[in-house]
Parts: sequence; C-alpha cells; structure tokens
Amino acid sequence: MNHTEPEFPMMRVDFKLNGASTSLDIEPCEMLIDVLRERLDLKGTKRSCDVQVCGACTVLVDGNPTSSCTTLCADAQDREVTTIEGLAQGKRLDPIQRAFIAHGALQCGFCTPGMILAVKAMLARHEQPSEETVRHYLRGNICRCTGYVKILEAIMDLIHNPSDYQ
Amino acid sequence: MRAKKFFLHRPRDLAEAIALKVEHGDAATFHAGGTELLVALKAHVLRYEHVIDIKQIAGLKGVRVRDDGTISIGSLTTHDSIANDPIIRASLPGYAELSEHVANIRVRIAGTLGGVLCFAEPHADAPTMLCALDAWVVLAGPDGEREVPSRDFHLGEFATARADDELLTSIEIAPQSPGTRSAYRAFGHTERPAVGIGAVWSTDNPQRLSLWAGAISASPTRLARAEDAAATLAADLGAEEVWQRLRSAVAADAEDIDAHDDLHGGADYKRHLVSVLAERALKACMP
Amino acid sequence: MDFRIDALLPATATQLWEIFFDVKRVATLIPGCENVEEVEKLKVFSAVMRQKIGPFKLDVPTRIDIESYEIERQVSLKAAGRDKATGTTIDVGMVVNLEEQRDGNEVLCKLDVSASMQVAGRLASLGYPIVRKRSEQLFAEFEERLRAELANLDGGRSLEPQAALATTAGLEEGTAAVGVGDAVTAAAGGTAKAGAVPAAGTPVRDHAPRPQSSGQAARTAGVVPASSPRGGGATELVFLWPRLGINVVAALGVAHGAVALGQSPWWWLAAPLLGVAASLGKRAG
Repeated sequence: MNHTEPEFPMMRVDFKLNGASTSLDIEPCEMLIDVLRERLDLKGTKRSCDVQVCGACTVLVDGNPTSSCTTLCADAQDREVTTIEGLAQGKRLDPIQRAFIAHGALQCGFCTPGMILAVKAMLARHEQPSEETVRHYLRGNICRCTGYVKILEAIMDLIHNPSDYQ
Repeated sequence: MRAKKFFLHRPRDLAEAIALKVEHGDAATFHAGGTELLVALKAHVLRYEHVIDIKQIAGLKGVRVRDDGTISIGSLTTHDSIANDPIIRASLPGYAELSEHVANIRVRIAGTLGGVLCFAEPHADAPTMLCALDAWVVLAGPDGEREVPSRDFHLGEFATARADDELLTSIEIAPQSPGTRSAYRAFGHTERPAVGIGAVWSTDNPQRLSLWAGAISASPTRLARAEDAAATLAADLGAEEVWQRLRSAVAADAEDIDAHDDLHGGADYKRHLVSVLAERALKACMP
Repeated sequence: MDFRIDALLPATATQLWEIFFDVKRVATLIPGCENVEEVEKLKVFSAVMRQKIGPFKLDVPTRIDIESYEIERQVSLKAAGRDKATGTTIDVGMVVNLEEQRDGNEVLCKLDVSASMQVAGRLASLGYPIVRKRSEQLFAEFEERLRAELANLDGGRSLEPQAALATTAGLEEGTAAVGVGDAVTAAAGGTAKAGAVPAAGTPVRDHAPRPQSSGQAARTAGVVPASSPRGGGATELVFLWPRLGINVVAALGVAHGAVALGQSPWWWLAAPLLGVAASLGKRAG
C-alpha cells in the first residue's frame, strides 16, 4: 500500500501589508493568521476561538473586517491587509487607540487589536453611528474582561468629540 | 488545528471550474467565502486535496433585475452586499434585514448566499426566507443548466438537490406584487438561529400567506395549516385580528415539526418559538 | 450518555440465548456496521462503523471485548473505536442480564440491558444536533431490522408487525428508561392489544411530511428520564452516535439473551415501558 501523500506545492502570494508590498511563498492551506504571526512575526493579531466567532483575530482586508483565522492567506492576493501594527504611525497612535487608552477600555488586552480594527472599519463605513449601530457592528467582537462599558464609552466619545483624539 | 495540505485551483470561468470538479471528484470542493468550509478543514472533519476557488469567476456576483422583473442574486454575492443592495432594499426589505443580521460583520462580508445554501447547515436564515418567497436556484453542471425551486433544493442536513459536479450560479426571486410584504424573524443564543420564520403576505388578489419555519428542523418547513387558514380570512382585517385567527393553526403546525433537543434549545422550546416568531413576522407584514 | 432496555419477554433464557448466538448475523441489523469478525472466540470481535452525513464521513474501526459472561444469564462487554481522519473516539460499556421467571405455566425472561457511551472529538462537538438526530434514526432502523429478523425466525407464527420497540438514550440527565413494547399504543389508548396498535413507528403526534422513521416512537417515548445511579453522565463533548456504538454492543448483548419470539401475539411487554407510556400520556394531556 502506498502511504505517501502527493506533493503539495507552495504558492506565491503578493499583497500589501500595512502599506508595504509583500511577496511570500506559502502553503495554500495556510490561514492569514498563520502567515502574519509565524512567517511575518506580527504577534498583534491574536488567535482565540479559531472558528471566526470571537473577533480576536480581526484584521482589515481592503478596509473590511476579516477573521484572519478563517481566511486563506492565498485569498489576500492583490489586496491590502492592515493589522494592528499598521495603525500607529511610529509613536503616533491612531485616535481609536488613544480613545481606548483614555477610557481604560481594555484589561487583558487580548480582544483589543481585533476590537480596534473593527472600530476602524466601522467608522470608515458610518461617519456618526448611533450607539445601536455600534453595538450591532461590534456584535462579533467578544471581550471577556471589560463588560464592554468602557469600550462603548471610548467609541461614543470618539464619535462625538473627535477633536479630542487628533 | 491547521488545515491539511491541498492544491488551490483558480479556474477562470464556470466551465473550467466544473471540469476541475469532474476531474477530481470527491477529492475536490468548491471554495467561495470559506466561512464554513475552512472551519471544517481546520478541524479535520473534512478533507479535500483540491480546493477550487470560484471567487474570481465573472458573472456570479451582484444583484440585478431581469426583463420580466425577476430579481437575480449572483451566488457569490455576500450577505453584506445583499443587505446594502438598493434593489433588495427597495423590493425585498425583509430579506435585506435578514442579510444584515446573519452571524457577525466578518461573516457577512466574507460569506456568500450560494455558500450558505450549498453547505446546507440547517441553522441558517436565508433558506427559510427564500422558501417563503418561492425563490428558485439555478444550477450549472457539465450537462448544462437547470432550475430548482428552493423548497425542493433543501433536502436535509448538509444535503441539497445540487449534484456534486454542479455549481449554484444564481438565486432567483419572482417580482413581488404591489400588495405583498415580507418579513423574517429569528432567535438564537449563538450566532446561528434556533428558529427562523419567513412570512410573505399578499393582499392583492388573492389574499395569500406564505409562512415557513426554518433552522428548527433538517430543512425549512411550510406551516401549511396557517397558510390554508389565511386563505379563508376576510380581507382588510387588522394585524391582531389576523393573528388571533391564525394562531392555533400555527401552533398545530409547530407541533408537527420534527424538532430535537440540542444546544440551540429543547424541542418544546423551539416549537414555542415558532408561534412567537410567526406572530412577529406576520404582524411585521401588515400595515 | 446512558442507555437502558428493560423488557419481559415470553421466552426462555435458553431460547433467547440460542437465537442470538450468531453475532455476525445480529450485526447485520446495525446500520453502518460492517466487517464484523470474531478475533478470539467469544472474547474479542472487530467491526467497522461507517456513517455519512452530507460531506462528513466517519469510519470507526471498533474493537469489542467481552469481559465476562455467564451462559444464559449475563454478559458484560466493552467497545472502543477511533476514526482516524476526524479523531473521533467512541467508548461503550454494557452489561446484559437475563433472568428467567415462571408465571404459572408461562415462562418469561427478563431482559435488562444497561449501557454507557462516551463520544469525544471535534465532529461530535461541532455537529452535535445533527449527530444526535442521526443516531436516533439509526437506532430506529435497528429496531425495524430486528423486528423483521425475529418475524422470520418462527416460520409458522407471524409477529405483530406493528409492535414498536421503543428505545431511547438519555442525554443530559445521563439516563433514560427504555421500554420495549407497545409504548405508542399504551399511551394512545391504554390497551396493549397488539391488534390495536397503529402503524409501526407512528408516534402519538402526527408529523409534518418529512422522511418518517420509526424513530419517532423512540423520540416521543424518550423524553422521560428514569432514575438511575448514573447521573450527569454526559461529557462536555457531545455524542456522535448514542446508538451507533451501542448497537454493536447491543447486538452482542442481544445475542446473549434478548428479544422475543414467543407464543403470544403480545410479545413485547415491559413494566417500565408502561411507566414511560403513562408519562407520555401525561405529556400529551
């Protein structure tokens, strides 16, 4: 009996990562999170539930929130991928990050990168979302520490007082 | 866990995609949004050596209106696109709302309508509503195209009328008469619904109700007694009066449903939800 | 998850023991059970359980060990299997007791089957609702095949085709009473006359036009948990096939003294069953 598996070749994937052109040889079966964390050493994206329910692994692909744990890296071909590492400009934090810090909207911080990126995508789609819209949009980002109160406060404050966080 | 290795194919068109599936048979699967397939591959409950990516095939995305007024939704259209599509929002607002509440934003953005229909996990929203709307699907295979009504497409858990070498290309919904309104109401503790009710209520001749229950059993179920009772109702009754006349028929239909105790709830609880959600869906269809 | 059969059958222990001594034959009653082999006479058997639900396939090579037995009285078995592809494991333990009784001129045999099963793995936890439902359907089919098998044994007499084997598996409570007999009839009308039984598998309620199986009777009968020393037997990972793994073992248990043939048309009778039926009656009411 022949037990050897047929050879499964690697493939080349080209995409933009946090603004920089990236070209990699990957296995077709690798998920985006595997490539980000292991090949590219970007540990900001967290693996939690691994079934795209919790949102901890959220990255942006062409500005859209994406579960990197359940997305083939190959499907990022020719797209723009943004991770939490790509938000700050050097030492200059993104307004969302500053709002989260100002309001203490994190405890363990594990859900935070995914949460912040989801907020970024939401604010790109909705300029002045109501609280109801915010709750609905972020429904898929789970936090076990904060009870969401501070997170919501940070977001609503950012929406209503954006100049505080420029 | 990590998915086991596979070849990733990117066929340029429908014919090539189907040919690849025919060539590799059971060792191959189609791949669109991946929201269900990739979870299964990572968990090793499914294994394919050939993954056929169909996202780059032209003509399968988007919503358009045919010459006869039929709304045609490309199978690769995502839930998020459907929810925000102007045609759907104008003519099928209930269905737009359904799409807006599928799972979470990430699943809505990646997941396609064709995918959710073909994977046929029973705890889904779209199949129920499409049955209530008398929709049909278009399947393309090596021998050509065919149409299958939604109610005949969903055969059970993970089972549809789609043959292994067919691709679902579009979902078609007949133009709704001016006196028709539709609504969908669902409830679940998880991201998937425990029970979903699709209601389509037409007041123009004849007065007609289409009422379907989904997620609660292997495939969507017509609430036939309620539909029959609705046909005998006088016209121009208020929402509450209509409900009072239909509620026992709905409850009788619910009793008949093959429901099981599971993580989504007990069988009795789910049958109870059928009545609760049917009332809400019905009233949402009435002025 | 725990599982019990309680039955009082109009047959002798010897009769029952002999009838089902052919393990391989009984194994054919189990849907999906294939390649049953006796590895060590009366000690070790092997089989493969195969199931398919849509694209999901399971292939569970199973080893069955007979741990102890006392001819015409008792047998204790265990079965263990693992599906390599999905990593799903099944572990079953079962004890079967036979006790012959005399009621005047009539000889009856009490059958007591007590089994527990644990299923672990991703498929079970990801697909629990469907898997559970499939196991109920499989068990219902097992019942039908068993009934047909028994009807063939005694050439002259015909067994009541409508008599339903009502069996269930307990879930969260860890146990369920399983009665074997005219649960449906008793619930429906109080009479246990086999002739008055509705069509096999017809449950107390009518069901919507979905593929029917006699599992309906099993399901409606199975809601009442029985008291048992085992409570909360469910593991956190839910069951793949409550009855599937059990069927292999049940077949063997049955081989060592179960099912009825009997002189009387009323061939299934069980006191616990009537208790279940009474509860059913209450639920329907």
